[in-house]
Amino acid sequence: MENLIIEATKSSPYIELNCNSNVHTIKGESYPENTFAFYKPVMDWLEEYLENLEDKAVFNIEFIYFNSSSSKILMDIFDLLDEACENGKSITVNWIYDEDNDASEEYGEEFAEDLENLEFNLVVKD
Amino acid sequence: MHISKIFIKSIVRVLFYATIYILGILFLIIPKVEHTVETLAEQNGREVLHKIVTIVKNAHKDLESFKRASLQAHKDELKHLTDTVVSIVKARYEQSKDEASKKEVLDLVRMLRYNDNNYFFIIDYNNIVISHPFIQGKDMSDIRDKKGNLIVPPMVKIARENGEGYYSYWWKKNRQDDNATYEKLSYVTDFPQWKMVIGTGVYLDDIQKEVARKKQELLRQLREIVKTTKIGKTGYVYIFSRKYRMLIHPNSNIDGKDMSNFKTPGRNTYILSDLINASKTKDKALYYKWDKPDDPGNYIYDKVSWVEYVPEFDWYIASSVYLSEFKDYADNLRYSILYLSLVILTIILSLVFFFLKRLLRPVEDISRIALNVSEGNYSIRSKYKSNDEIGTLSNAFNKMVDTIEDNIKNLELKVKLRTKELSELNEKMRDSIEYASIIQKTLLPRLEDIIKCFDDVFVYWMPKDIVGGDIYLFERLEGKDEFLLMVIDCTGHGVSGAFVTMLVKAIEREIVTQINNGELQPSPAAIMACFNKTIKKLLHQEKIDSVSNAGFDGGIIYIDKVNRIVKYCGAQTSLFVVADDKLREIKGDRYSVGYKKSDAHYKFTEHTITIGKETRFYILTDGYFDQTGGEKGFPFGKKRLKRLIEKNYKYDFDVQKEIFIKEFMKYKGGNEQKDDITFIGFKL
Repeated sequence: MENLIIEATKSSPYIELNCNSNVHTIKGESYPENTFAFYKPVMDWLEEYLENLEDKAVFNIEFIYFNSSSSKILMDIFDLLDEACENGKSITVNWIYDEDNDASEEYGEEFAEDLENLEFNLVVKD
Repeated sequence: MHISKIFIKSIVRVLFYATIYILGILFLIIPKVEHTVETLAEQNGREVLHKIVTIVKNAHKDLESFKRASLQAHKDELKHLTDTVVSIVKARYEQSKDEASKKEVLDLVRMLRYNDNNYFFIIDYNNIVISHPFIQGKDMSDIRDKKGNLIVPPMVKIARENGEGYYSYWWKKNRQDDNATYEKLSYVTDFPQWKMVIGTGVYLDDIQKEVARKKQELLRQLREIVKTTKIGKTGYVYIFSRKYRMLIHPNSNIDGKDMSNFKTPGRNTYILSDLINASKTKDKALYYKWDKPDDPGNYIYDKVSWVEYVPEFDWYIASSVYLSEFKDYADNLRYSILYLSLVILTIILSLVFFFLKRLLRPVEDISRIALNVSEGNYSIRSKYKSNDEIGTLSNAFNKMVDTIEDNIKNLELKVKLRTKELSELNEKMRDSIEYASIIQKTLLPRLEDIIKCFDDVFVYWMPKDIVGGDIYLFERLEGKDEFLLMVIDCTGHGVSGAFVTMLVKAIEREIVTQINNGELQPSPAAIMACFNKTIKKLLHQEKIDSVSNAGFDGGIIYIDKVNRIVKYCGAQTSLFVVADDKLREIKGDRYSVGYKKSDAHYKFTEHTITIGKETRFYILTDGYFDQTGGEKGFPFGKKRLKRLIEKNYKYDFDVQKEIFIKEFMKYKGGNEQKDDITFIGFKL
């Protein structure tokens, strides 16, 4: 399969899903007009990717802002990853946030609470 | 004057090649020419020398042949005269052979004279002179001349052995005033009948004098030649003898002088010896320092002499030049070449300058026009017309600008048209949405209905667009002092959000009817569950592949004023309560209402709060605290919100509202509002 790279826009994040290095990046703001449509290719890619994943995968996620629709999608993504971990995959999510970004920290904490198998690290940005 | 870059570049390039051209001349051609000039000058020096040597050798040959011819003439004359005398003697002998006739003959011969004072002599076989004008009867057997040679015996011997012959010796002249001896050539012939030798002689000094005169003449001529011969400007020829005498020299102070003691300036050798030695070398050249005719005695000038020996005269002939002259020649030539090169270069550069100017003018024009076009001025065109490439460029450029101008005009027209259409469409839509907004606003509870139910209250409703996905609902239960307050944040914002609010409002009306009819408990959790079930049903969200994925987050508050109890149920929404000077966040369930993934039978949590006198409640949608702004563009944040409430809850709610709005606007700054906002605070 091919890597998925989506360049950032004002209302959508930069996304780089890399099946070669298994290090994935999502970074920026997320409030697209149609959130579900925007994240559809990401979800599809992840489903195929997780099915064939053998090595350890790392997701570095750094959001400045996301709206509630995006938050629902993110939860869906984390559920997907959590489920994969339950099935024996090794996945780490680094939730990267700025020290001053309380909202991001709080959302990170909330996501972490709901996840059982996924290694979800809250990482303060240098 | 504007000078274009391309012009400067071209000129610089031409100058570069020109410089290379001049350097090439300086370093390649000029040295070669200089060398050639020096070689030619040297050749010239040697040639002049050679010519003079040839002249001298030819003169010598002439002199020799003159000598030979003169001698032969004398010889012939002597023989002829003697033969005549012999024939007379013989005739007499034929007549009478006796002593008397012999004596007669001897006497006769003694009397004979020719050529002024010349005479005949007869000698017997015993070397006795028997007929002679002065030394009659003298025995000459042992008499020698000044060279020590016998005089008479060899003559007798030659005559007797060969019958005749010539012999030369040194002899006194028959003159009173001259006792010197001169070389004399005599012819003798044998007359055996009377055992005697008859002869006559001639002094050779005539010939020698003539030869010497001719030699002097030659020297005179040579002197003329030498004086007029110039090698180059100041080079000359000179001749000296082996005995170190300067025979001919154009410089009168050494012409004819004995130079045997003249040392070569700067050396401990003699100049003429050096020159003689040089004549024996291969190139026959001597380099030395010498003076100049216009600076006599100052021996500082480098000079070269080529020397040749002429054995015929025992002379040395030399030609010499000042070395500086070679340089002068070369310098002259170099300056001429350089001058000529510069003239040619100047002409070429001028031609290049004017040619380039002419060639580049249209290019510069087109460039200027292109610059104008790039700045948006499409009105000017290149006027250059020609059948060459620049003409083609000019023409094509004009056509291009025509096309661009035309396109832009067309485009502007189209844009205007489209903009008009779009703004019309936009206006229609805006009208439509604004009307929708009126409808949406009428769905909102009337503020005075709310105010009269609370001790103090504020409501802030600010959709992101004209209509929004946020809605708040307020109901007083029929005949009771109980109220329902709901703050709902539907999926999305704008028109789509507004549609969901309509649905929410409709369901809420139904729920309130059920409560009033006693069919449903006024429990926020039950109401929330009812919303969840109804929305999922109405929007067909039972299946996972459902098209609609709408729903809402929000909070439902039930207020029982009589018993001073508040019940709360939240879906992803918190209720903030300030009691006893403490702020408490009552978090709602982490569960949204609606959406296809949610469970239709999900049981929401219900919180019950007893109300104190100064208990204050705040409920708001995430549009407020998720708004980005500040220095780094981060969301406002719940922490900041809490601090804001803690700091200001004591104020009247009107004042608090102003503060919340002001702080929000301050934080948002120039950023756009990200989401719809509903913010309600109240006190009972």
